[in-house]
Amino acid sequence: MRRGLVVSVCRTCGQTLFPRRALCPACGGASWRRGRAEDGVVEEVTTVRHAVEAAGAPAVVLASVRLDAGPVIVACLEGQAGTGGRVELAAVDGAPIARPREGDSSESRVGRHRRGQ
Amino acid sequence: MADAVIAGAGEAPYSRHPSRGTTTESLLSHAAQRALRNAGLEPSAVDGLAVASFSLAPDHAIDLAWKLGLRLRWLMEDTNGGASGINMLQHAVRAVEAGDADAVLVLAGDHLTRDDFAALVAAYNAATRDYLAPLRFGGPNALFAFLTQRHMARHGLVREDYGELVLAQREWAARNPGAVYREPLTMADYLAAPMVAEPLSRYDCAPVVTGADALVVAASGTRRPVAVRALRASYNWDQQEGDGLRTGLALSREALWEETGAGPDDVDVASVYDDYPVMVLVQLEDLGFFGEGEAKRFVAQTIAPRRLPLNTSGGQLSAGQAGAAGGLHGLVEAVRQLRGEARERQVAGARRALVTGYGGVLYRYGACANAAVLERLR
Repeated sequence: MRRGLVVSVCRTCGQTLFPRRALCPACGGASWRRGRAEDGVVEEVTTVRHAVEAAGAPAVVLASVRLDAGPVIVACLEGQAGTGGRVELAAVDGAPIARPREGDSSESRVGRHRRGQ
Repeated sequence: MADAVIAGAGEAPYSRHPSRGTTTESLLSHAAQRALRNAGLEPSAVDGLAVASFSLAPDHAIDLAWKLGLRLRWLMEDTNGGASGINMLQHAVRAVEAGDADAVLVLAGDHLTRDDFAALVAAYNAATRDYLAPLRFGGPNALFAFLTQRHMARHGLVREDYGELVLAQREWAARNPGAVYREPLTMADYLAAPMVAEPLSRYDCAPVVTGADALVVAASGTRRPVAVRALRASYNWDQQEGDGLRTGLALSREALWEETGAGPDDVDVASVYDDYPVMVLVQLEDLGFFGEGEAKRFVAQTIAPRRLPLNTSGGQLSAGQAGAAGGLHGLVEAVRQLRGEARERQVAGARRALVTGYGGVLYRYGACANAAVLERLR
């Protein structure tokens, strides 16, 4: 597992994207650098109880997370966090994992305004 | 330029447990035969073929043409999921108008086993395979659970509001022998159903079935023709950078109604793509059936009192979602209504229909959205 999530940053206009694209939707640029997104805010959480590809497997908790760097991503949520909770990102084989930021209780952050927009 | 019309429609029966020996090809063939009979045409008259199917592989459109014994001068295959039906219709109409074909068979259908479906959702595209499947995300339900939560928070809806839509469609399904789920449903049943991914329960997710749909697009002169008055499409309109609470239909709205010379109030029957109830409301808002943010009021004033004949087959939520046929199902139902062939569920005097398609989930929500306004000619 690696801390942070690899994102693509357009060298021409600075737009950050996940998943990566071939051409930048903002400026048409084709030159990218790798960025690392480490923080974000939970927008929604759901528990998938009936996964078709894994019948009988334990429920999976997923979150929609707005990265401070811009994009909204889908991550596996490990630990308790609700809407507005701050999370840190990691990746397993490139797929995003979100964990509550240490010392940041999600309850105290509910309703907090979005950052990084 | 020739006038192109929809000359016939047909459906291979939808089923949860198809009989032994059922294949994608047998379903598509069955639907094709029914549509041709409905149009009063022999297979030998067909010179164009369009098909959408997730389970046709490794075959393609040309293999299907061979197996159906068709000699063609126009051929296409479509991969746009829930938007494939209207996309194929658009191309078929233009082909007939341009004289590239005289009679086009438009087909969509799937026979997906549980394993086939699991494989399909896990590798729907590269982004899904690389970034969602490793999370064991379980298919698009979780994505539309997020989207429904956003819709609830933004516009003040509660589960009962989506339930009204589900119940209304189930009432139509009770009058459609072709619907798979026809047993009566109460709000208490809806609210008590097992959760799939909060806030979506079993009744909020279109159930996977086996089946196929077909249309015939031909030069005018056929019996009870249905015209395509307007058709508009939008693909990847927001680059997946929005919230999914709008679709590309918002861009199409003005031109769609202008070309039709009509508006939402003039629609007699509507087939709005219903993979999840929230998407029905999102698309209706995009097309101007109610003002921005007024979904809850629309449910109370129009859906609950059954003022709009909406998804009169029961929709995918009650008739079932037969893979790629989901994108053609609403068109087939609208054509049946306009031709006065909907039997027990016939909407009296139906003259104008709205049909939408939605699909192509890239990463967070669908990127394909199209709509057509159909009209009975005589």
